[in-house]
Amino acid sequence: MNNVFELRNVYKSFNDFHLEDISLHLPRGYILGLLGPNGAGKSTTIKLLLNLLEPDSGEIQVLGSSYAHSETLIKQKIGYVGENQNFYQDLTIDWTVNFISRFYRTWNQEKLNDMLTNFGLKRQKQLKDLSKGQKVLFNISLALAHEPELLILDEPTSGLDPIARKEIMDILLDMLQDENKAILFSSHITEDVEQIADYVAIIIKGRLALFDTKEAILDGFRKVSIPKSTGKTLGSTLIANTQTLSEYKGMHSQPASLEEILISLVKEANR
Amino acid sequence: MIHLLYKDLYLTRKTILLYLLIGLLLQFNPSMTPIFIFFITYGVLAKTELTEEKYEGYTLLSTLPVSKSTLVISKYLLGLLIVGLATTYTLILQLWINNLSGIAVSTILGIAAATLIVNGFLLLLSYKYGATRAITYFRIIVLSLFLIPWLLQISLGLPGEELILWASSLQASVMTILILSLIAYGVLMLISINTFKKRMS
Repeated sequence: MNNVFELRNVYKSFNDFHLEDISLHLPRGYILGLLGPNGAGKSTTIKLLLNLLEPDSGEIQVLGSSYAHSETLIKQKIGYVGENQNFYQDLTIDWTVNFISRFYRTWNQEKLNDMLTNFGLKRQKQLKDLSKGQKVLFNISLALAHEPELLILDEPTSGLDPIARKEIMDILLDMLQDENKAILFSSHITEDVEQIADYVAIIIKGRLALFDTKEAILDGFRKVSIPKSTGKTLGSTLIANTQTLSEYKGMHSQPASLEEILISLVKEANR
Repeated sequence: MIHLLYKDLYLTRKTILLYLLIGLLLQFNPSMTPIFIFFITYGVLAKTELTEEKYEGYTLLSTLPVSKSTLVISKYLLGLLIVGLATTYTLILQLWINNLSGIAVSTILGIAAATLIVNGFLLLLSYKYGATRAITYFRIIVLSLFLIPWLLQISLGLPGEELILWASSLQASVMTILILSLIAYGVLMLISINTFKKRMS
């Protein structure tokens, strides 16, 4: 299978945090949702993928190349939308578009104009006058205008209202009409990831707790509860791995959501 | 590269215009003239580094298809450009206002050379410690450089005239100083590239 990126046994150490032994990949034409609580290592993983950080050990391949040999070539094919919209706030939309477009060989100005119009973004407006949602939409417009093969989004929907979130989800799904493209989407809003992701990776305390297709993960866990008729109670609802479900005889089980699986894994990691 | 330079010039356009106006006024007092070259360069570089820090500009720029080396080189080219323009501006105004009689050309060029090195050091500090801390350290260092000769003169009783004569003798070989300052500026740029790469990794 043709992967847009591969991380193999990546390790990155800081004074108070370690990202340990991360191995991930994403095939073309798919969306990978990166889940985890705040401070788990999602943004660090993304920074490593963008070469904003260098790993202490391990290997990172993006679009078939390594950053050591072809950093600018790789970045020509990546679109990035960060959690913080790092723009020069005193500049206008028009000026920023003009500046960013000069770095890319494949810049689709017509597509960008359409997106700005659809999002109601006025070109003469200064970036500091845009709302958070408008800044994200502007950032996504910029990231898509150079027709990237890999789109990386770090918590783009955090702090947005449901309408803006829905709009962003639709844009992402629309991008994947082209099967040559792929999306890495980090979030702590599990609902968004459950809605659009094909693959899911869960990072907790710098370790990769789970990585598989969304279906395999959802099939692999069940929400277990004791029937009231038994008179017994569980302290809380239990999320059980389906492989160990036979241990819970007499109990009811039903499908677990990604959020319930994530919470269960975080609790387990904190024990 | 040219886009990065244009962006910095655009972001600092008000600072540049303000300093050009101050520079025009300073030309009527030839002894103050060389200070203009130093202050406009310091003003523009400090402003651009503070802007990058305020808006996390280096993070945005690092996600674009441009190498980390290019980002640093563009700042050093900006410094070189401002020194060149400020020196030319000063020479033209001195020729126009004072017919170059108020101050020696060699003094102006000597100050331009010193400005290059000192501001190259400012950029290096900025890549090492971030803009805000770098500017604080830089001000302490520059003030010390002005204070040390004065303190030496007071404490050791060195005659001021001898210091001025020594400084004047340096002006005789101003072309050598200019070339040496360009080499030093280049070395500071290479160290800065290395420092920036380490900081961003």
